[in-house]
Amino acid sequence: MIRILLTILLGLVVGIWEAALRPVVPPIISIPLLLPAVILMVVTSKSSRAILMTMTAVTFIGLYQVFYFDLIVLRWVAIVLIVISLSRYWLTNRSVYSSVALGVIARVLDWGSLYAVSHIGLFLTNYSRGWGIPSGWYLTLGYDAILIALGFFLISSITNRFQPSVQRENAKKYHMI
Amino acid sequence: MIALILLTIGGLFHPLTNMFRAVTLPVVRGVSGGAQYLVKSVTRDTGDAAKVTELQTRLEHLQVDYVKLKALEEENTSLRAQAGFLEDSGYDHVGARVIGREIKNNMAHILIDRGSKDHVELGQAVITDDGLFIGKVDQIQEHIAVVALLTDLESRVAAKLIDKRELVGVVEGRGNGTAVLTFIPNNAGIQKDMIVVTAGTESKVPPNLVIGVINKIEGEDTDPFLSASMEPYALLDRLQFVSVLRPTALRPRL
Repeated sequence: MIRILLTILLGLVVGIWEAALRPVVPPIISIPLLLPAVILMVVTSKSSRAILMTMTAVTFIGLYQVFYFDLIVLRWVAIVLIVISLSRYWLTNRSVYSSVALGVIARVLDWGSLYAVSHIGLFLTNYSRGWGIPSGWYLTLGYDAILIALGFFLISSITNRFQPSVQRENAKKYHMI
Repeated sequence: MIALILLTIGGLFHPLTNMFRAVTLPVVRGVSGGAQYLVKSVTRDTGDAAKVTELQTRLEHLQVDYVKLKALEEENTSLRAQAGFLEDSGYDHVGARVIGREIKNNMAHILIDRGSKDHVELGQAVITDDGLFIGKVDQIQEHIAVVALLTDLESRVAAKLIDKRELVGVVEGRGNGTAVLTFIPNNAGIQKDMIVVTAGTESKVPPNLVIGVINKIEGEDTDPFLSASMEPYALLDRLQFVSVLRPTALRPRL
């Protein structure tokens, strides 16, 4: 129960950062937190918690995302499900490289789906503008990679989630104790 | 899934969204306000940049004063007993905080924490706290509204020169922080550094709100119409507080 509450709290913190703080702080510190948080949740925790955290965050963000037509909750649930599948069946090793690769794939999915949804919205709603790739797209990708890598190193240094599972009796053989 | 999407487009979730927004708006307002205050107080101490900003602000104040003086002079000569712009033009203003912005590529929109509940309507003029025109209300919901800034690609506003009465052209947004004054009659006598203000020919945009200054005039002597690139006076990427102008007839009764 506490873990569920902590997951919701994390989602709210990410949502508040994305909806209330990122738009008003200088561009240099306007760091995208949602995607790195989702990727780190997927690679370090249960899928259900990753989905819960994502849904909490994007529901909050969706309340103040009014510049384009955007089915943000549906989009992000789909993205996180795809990322979970990829991490289970394709990028299966828990390394910083595979995590960053998942991050890049998720960002491409995010931009692609937002572009498609916002342009579909031009025909179905009264929104007049579709989303376009921002001029500083490479900065966003760079931030994603750095944050995922930093988060990965931080988690691996304070927990034993990414340690190889070696039996204790074999540990001496592998010079682990 | 398709049914869910159609229901979303149809507005089934609007009441729920409005309810959540009403609950979370004070949090967003407080957090973004605190962040803006922090950013402002940090950047205030950064030497040259701060001096430039201060000088720019003073210049804006001077321009606004000049416009007000000109407007008053004009009004006095026509024996209209008007003392202040807002009272006499039949408008009052609703203060709003900027809680979001989307200023990139050809788009220049801000999100404000006032909506239809505050009697804000589509097309109403939005000004800075210094009285500089920045754009018009473009989208509206119960608690929030989107303002299309004058540099937005789809923004259009009728304009005149400060010391003239007649319409001189249309200020069109060009994206990336730029705007152009178009459809200027060749005999309008327009020159570089002239100040452009709103013409007041639109129903919800009062006249004499400062828009910007003429930078460069383009066109030949034989062209029927000229165009001119403009520099908006307001610092559109640093807006924190704005005011939406609304007709006094819509002022809520207390």
